[in-house]
Parts: sequence; structure tokens; C-alpha cells
Amino acid sequence: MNTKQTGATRGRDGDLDDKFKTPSMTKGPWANVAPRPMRKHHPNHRRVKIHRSYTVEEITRLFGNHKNTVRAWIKAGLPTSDEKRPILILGSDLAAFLRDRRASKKQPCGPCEIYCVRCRAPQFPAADMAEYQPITEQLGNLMAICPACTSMMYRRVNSAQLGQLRRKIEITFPQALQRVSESSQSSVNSDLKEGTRP
Amino acid sequence: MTIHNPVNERIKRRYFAYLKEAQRNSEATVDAVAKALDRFEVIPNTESSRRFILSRRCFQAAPR
Repeated sequence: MNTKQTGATRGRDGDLDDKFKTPSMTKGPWANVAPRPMRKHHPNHRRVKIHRSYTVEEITRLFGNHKNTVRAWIKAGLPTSDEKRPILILGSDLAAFLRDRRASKKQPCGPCEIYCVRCRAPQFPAADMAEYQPITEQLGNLMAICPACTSMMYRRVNSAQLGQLRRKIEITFPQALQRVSESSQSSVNSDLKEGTRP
Repeated sequence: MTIHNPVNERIKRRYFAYLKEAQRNSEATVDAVAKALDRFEVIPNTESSRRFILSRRCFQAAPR
């Protein structure tokens, strides 16, 4: 436990201040187990300096991942500077490799498609129907049902694009403001003429 | 296409380590030197002359 640490709530190694710890972190079997740093699933290629060269150890320090991960990248096609040891990787090669890997995982949606989180793919709305829920005058959410897994899909759209979308899919708008219960009585908080008392 | 010489890369690494540790240059200064050396290497010299000039510059600064 790091009691000297002040100011920042979380140090570089992931330790928390005592005052921020939950009871399960100070008692029980997990009391003295240091939390592991969060894994970086998608390393940011912009952190690599393109004019510098890196060893495997330096890349692990840069991204906080395991050395075997970097060696797996080399097996997967990350070019090295030469065959000598320690293995040297050019920053420009590393940045290009990570950028290509990230770009290959992207699944951009088409104009009328919505990304389905469960299917992990862009899907066209079922029965060509979607519902628009305005948030502001210019912005709103498009809700639709996925044809493959029948779960809800959501997409943030600009209201100016709705005309273009309506050519391909049918978009419904909510008729009235949604309330818990309808009230037929008018509000008593109305403007009154000056001088009159209720 | 990127032109790089593997021998120069290792020489440059030693030189950057020298700048950082012995000369106490900041990270930004070493980055600027790295960028300048990279631009210098793009000039289409022959491979041997590039290696010679780079190693002479680095060895003058950081003798073994």
C-alpha cells in the first residue's frame, strides 16, 4: 500500500489512496493484491516517434503491454531493422503497422446502416423502419431493430440528413411528448391579469 | 519509400543515448536531432558515405 502518495488518486502502478479504497480492497483475500494495469487493446500509433527506433522492451514500456505481444506482432509481419540482437524496430514501421491493424478492424456504416452491438456489424434496419427521437433541433437518435438478432440499434444522426435517409427507410416521429400520465386539468401556474387575485 | 541503413540506426541509438544521458539533453532536443538526421539520410548519398559521415559525427561526440 502506498501511503506516501498524495494528490493524484491513482498512481502510475495503479495503486489507489487508502481513502478511495472500498472495504473489499482493504479486507479479505484481495487486500494485498495489487491491481493490474488496464490492458491496452488498441495501442495508439500516434504515441510512437517515427524518427526513433525501439527495442521490444521499449515498446512494452510505451504501451504497457507484454513483451510476448510485441514478439507476436513481429511474427504477424511487423518489420525489424535487421537480424541482429537486440531486435530493433523503426518507429515509422511500428506506427504504420499499428495504423493498418486499427484500420482493418474498422467497420464503417453505410448511409442507412446502424451498427449492431450484439452482431458487431453494420446492419440495415429490419422492415426498413426506424424511429427518430429528437434531442435538440438539429440532433437526434435513430432507433431501429436489427434484422439478424432483433435487438435494438441506435445511431446519432443530424436532422438535416433525415430527408436523405427517408428515401430508403421509413422514419417515424413520436407524435406527442412522452409523459408518465396525461392530465386533462390545466396548470394553475398560469399568467393572471394584474390586480386580480385567485 | 523510406531509406534506412540498419548500421546507421544502431549508431544513431547510441548517439541519442549519449545526448540524453551524458549531455543531459531534453527529450524534445533529442527528437529534433533525430528528425534532422532523418532528413539528412534522405539525401541520396551512397550508402557507405552516409554511414561514414554519420558514424564520424556520432563517434566524435561519443567516443567509445
